Amino acid sequence: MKPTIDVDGVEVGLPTEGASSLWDVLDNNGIRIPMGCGTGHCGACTVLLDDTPTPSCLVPKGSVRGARIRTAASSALPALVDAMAREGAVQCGFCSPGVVVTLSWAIRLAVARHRCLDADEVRELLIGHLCRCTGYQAIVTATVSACRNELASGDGGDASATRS
Amino acid sequence: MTVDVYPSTWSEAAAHAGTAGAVVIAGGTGVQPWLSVRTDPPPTALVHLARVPEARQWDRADGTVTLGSLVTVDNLAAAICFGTEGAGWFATPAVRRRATVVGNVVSALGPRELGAPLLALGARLHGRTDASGPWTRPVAEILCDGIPAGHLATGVTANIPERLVYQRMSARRRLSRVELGVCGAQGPGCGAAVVIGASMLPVETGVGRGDEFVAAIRTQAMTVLRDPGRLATVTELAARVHRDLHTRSET
Repeated sequence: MKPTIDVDGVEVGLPTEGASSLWDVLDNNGIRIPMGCGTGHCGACTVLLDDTPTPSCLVPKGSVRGARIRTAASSALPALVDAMAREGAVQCGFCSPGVVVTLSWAIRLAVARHRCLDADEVRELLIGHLCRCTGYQAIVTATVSACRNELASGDGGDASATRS
Repeated sequence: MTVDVYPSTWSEAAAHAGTAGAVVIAGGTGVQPWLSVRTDPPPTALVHLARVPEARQWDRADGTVTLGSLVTVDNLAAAICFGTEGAGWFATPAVRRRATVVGNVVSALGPRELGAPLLALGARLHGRTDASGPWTRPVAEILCDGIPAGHLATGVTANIPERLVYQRMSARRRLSRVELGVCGAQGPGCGAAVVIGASMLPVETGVGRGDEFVAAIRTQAMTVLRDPGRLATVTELAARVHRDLHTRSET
């Protein structure tokens, strides 16, 4: 039986030969994710791999058989997306999908623990994401604001909750 | 074409690793970027260690910690090796969640950032071959000569330090290779290491005074370093390491 992965709730077949990465598999199946450095440092291609933010360019396709992949399309926290738009935390948008995947994950984890992310924690999370437009401060402000709102509204309590 | 293979024991993995053209994958953070851009012939097989149960295990005993080859850099067991600072200086959080300690040391594809701390901890690498079975070698030897073709790295054992300090310089913190660095560790079996570009050298320091510690580092550095400015930088880093090892309190 051909190995598969679950991408945003859709079953995607994995090639049985070759040395492609998870990013290659997604791209070959029409799932468009930015590709930046190709070495795991820029974070543009970050997806949730079994509920953990991971640069998809670093992951051999042979090591994800049966895995659950969530892209920004299904894992973005609406409160974060709204806050990023409000704070001007998106300019060219190249880094945004990866940033949104990581920060949505972090907000869900924080809210599940009944706490709010602080600015230093957000900056630490952004170490794996290069943004050449925003200077990061707007992203930090948006994330802290979104986390505070999620905590106040009681949403996002399930750390693994994503739309699929 | 490259095929994926999934051994479930060390001996099966060693047999696959010994096949011509096979490449072993642990975390994949060094291997996959190379696979994506390589221009030479592709590997015949990618040997995934995920189904070898021992590869994920770690053990702490008799003042040492042994990490299996799938133990990642962000694992708490690995953190024992990196002192109070932890491994936060290594790459990015997402990379630390996938990169493995053993893979970092044996892979010739990356800068081997963990080499200096492991040298200072007197670490030994464990491996095996299909033909001759298990072996253990000092990490210093592996950093110098690399792991022989066809050999499989199965784990690493390091002495647990009472304290470890790593002072280093690089063009871009976390993202660039350490250009000059000095790592010192206190505790049984521990010592120091000096990093000069791609060279990582162990230093026997004993329980000496600050000037003796600095002199030992300088002597080792001078075996590969001729530039007086860089030698002065190494000397300053060594002095800071000794000061931090002996005067700063653990937090």
